[in-house]
Amino acid sequence: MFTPKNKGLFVDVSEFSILAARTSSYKLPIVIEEIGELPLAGTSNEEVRQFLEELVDYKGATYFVSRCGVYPENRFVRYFEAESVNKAKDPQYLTNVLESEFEVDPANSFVSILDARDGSDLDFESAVTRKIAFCGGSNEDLQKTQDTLLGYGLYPDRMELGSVSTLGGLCDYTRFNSINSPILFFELTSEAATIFIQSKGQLEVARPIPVGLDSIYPILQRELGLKDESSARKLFFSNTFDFAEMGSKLMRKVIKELQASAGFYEVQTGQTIDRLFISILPKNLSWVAKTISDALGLEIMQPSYEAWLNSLNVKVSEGVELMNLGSRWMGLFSLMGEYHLREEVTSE
Amino acid sequence: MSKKKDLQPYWRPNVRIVETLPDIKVVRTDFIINFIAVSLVVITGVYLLQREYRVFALSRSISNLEQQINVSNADNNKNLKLNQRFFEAANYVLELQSFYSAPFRPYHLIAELTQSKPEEMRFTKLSLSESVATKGKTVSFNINIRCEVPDLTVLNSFKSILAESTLLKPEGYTATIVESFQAKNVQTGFFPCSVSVVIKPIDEKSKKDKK
Repeated sequence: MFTPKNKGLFVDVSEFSILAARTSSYKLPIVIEEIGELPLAGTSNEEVRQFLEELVDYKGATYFVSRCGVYPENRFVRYFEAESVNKAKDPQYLTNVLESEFEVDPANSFVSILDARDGSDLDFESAVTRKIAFCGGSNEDLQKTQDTLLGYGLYPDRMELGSVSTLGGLCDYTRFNSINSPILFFELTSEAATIFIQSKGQLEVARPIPVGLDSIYPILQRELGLKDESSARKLFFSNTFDFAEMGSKLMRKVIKELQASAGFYEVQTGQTIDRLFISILPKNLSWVAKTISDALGLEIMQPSYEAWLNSLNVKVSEGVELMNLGSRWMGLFSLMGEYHLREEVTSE
Repeated sequence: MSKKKDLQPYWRPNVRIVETLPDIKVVRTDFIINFIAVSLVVITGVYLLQREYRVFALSRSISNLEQQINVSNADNNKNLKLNQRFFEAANYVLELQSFYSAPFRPYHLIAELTQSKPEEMRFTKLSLSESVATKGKTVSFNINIRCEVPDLTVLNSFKSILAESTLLKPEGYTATIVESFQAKNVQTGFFPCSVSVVIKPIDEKSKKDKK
């Protein structure tokens, strides 16, 4: 009664940086009181903890209970359209699909099956959808990620796949802003990349492509005549080189995959994709989005968070400026959204 | 795979592995502070309520008592009046008692004095009073006679008669007679005079000394 409420700490931990927000609490309505970013380049656990302690008061405890978005190496998000509603409700059938089509071992993985239309957990008894999204990761990978969080002094009250929560945030943002045209959402990390296409808040494509940033370094090494891949990697993340000119060369493979997926979708559905949304990538890789958007002729989506968050009962305190935050912050803010309450919120 | 019982918020499956999370449950002390604070509030509340109740009860009993006092005042006034009447009556009784406890009856004294008075003598005032001596608490009687005589020999003869009177010397008492006179009143041709008789009990001590 008299003790102050516990603050909320939302953290989006990608391989590039940690984005964090302190909120008034976890229970909606909440207020974002402060946000912070820590680039992760050879950063020690102690430095991360120090960064977090500047945001929240640990009160001498080892851990701070937080809600985290993570990107485990072997995470997966796959879209699947079953032949019938009945088949979509058959766990055995879905298990077979996972194993045969998506090469996921359900025995050693955490798998969540969502209704691709709204992101709700698929109810095997009452589901009426054929559109399904599988998501999860290998147990080993998740354990490693969880241990990393604990190493930072973060006790995950929730540990969510950043790819899925960002997708959810984007879908809800699309609905809130009544964006009717499909959006191409591209998630690019070192080892993996996933193409998502969502339309009117519903997931319609989610497929991995066999390229990541790691596949770009050899090209960069070759193009610039660098001595090894690690030098190329170092240069890639430095702010000293302008990649705008040679961007299309470096991203050729990625662009090809994106063009193929987008083209197939457009032919299949008759809808035209006109926006591109790229998450995670740090500010110094903004040329990636520019290169892709130029190549695909898409507009880069720059979300305006404040009104959207406000509609989710997430207020922003006066000292926090969200205007210039790019799309990579969607992962963090989407951890705060409770979209199943959206109907109630809007009906109020 | 997720089951219905693990329903998550939309687009936000929780993939944490609970089994391997450290136990962060600590003995919470916050509730003790809350408990103490609540207890203090409750105790203070009860104390204030009790005090208010006592004030209310006392006010009620005060008003009851005031009502009783008002009722009793009338009775008291009545009783006081009765008491006053009683004291007045008691004084009469005491007076009567002293009247009857005297060694002589005043009316006998008046009769004696008027009978023994020489014919030429005129009484102008006759008074009898009692006095109580603080030492020994003995009662003395003072007879004061204001009179007029045409000749001082009449006064002397009256004094002698009084000295011989047995009435003025009841048993256990002694009488002292003192006379005085003034210059002759030219208009009347009489001497204003006075005779004072003090009848007092005989002192037992002095009696013994005499023996």
